[in-house]
Amino acid sequence: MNDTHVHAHPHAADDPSSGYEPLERAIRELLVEKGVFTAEAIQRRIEAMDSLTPANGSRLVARAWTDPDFKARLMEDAAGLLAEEGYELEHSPTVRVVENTESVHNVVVCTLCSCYPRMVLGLPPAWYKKKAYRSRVVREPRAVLAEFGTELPDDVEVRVHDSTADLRYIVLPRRPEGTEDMDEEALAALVTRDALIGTAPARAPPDRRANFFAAGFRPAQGRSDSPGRCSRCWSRPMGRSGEFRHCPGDIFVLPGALRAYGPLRRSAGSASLW
Amino acid sequence: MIENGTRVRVDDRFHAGHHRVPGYLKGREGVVTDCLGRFPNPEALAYFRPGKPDLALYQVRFRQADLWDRYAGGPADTLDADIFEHWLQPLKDKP
Repeated sequence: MNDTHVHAHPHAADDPSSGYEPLERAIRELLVEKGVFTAEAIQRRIEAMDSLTPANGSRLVARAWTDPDFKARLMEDAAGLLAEEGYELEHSPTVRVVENTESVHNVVVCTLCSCYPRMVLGLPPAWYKKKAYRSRVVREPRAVLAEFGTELPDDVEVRVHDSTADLRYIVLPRRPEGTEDMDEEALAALVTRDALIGTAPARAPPDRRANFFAAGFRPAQGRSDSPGRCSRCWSRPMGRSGEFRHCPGDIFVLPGALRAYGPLRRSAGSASLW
Repeated sequence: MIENGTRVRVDDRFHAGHHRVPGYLKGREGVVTDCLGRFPNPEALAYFRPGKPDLALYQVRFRQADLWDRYAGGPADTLDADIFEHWLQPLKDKP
């Protein structure tokens, strides 16, 4: 159905073999020569874009988790709120926040190009712009999410947002359990870029991750005492340096990792963790 | 103005040039869940024309099972897309 796909914006701009790089350079140099803008102005614009990072989104989410009024405002009028917070939205598409709940999990894509809330989160990750992600996440979102380590129960509605027009979407992930005592800054550290796109949930808090095995979880029999494994996550040494690929907390949110380490059994006295 | 909850069909028509309706949604039926405001027509903006008057943009929710043969996910899975009014045909029957 792509027979009408004749518009000229550069889908393949970050592929140096596409020919867009020399084209971009030629046009830029011409415009500078003609005095339309200066090279310094371009540099300042690039610096401004580079100063935007997913940490902006993480802070918004952490504040929404701790401040119900802020959250209500964020859900109702994200663009207005962000403008007040000093984000430059004047020449940008508008922003909307979609909330993950017990029954709905949101994930964001732009199938037509690579629309992304750049005015808040900065540049999108490379995979977000790839045809593989853009075409597959609408067709088989659960399979794609599983590849990100996110497996959702069948009764959770997966809601894909295709940013086809003038809105850009940011996902408000669910607040992980066991984070009741954490302050905003610590909470923000749990909100990854992928959580803001919806390909992953927010990370579990660090103490829960560390407690995972300490509280009585052990890999299946015959594994826990194998020599040469990390005492915490039972991974084998990886790579040339023989370093352990530790379980940097992702073990809670990566069912794939659990499979890799074999079935887990729960020993007595650990029920409170779950 | 299309009311929230109205069942709509996305036009299945050829458009020579830039437009913001993905091919996989053309001819498909969904439900309007929100009016997102009015925006300049991207089909004109793309060619340096003003795109006025602004057009209403609607959030339309599709059932994934309606979009894809043998969809492998849950029956409640949905897809939201933002579609301009001149691509939407309201249907008489409401769900």
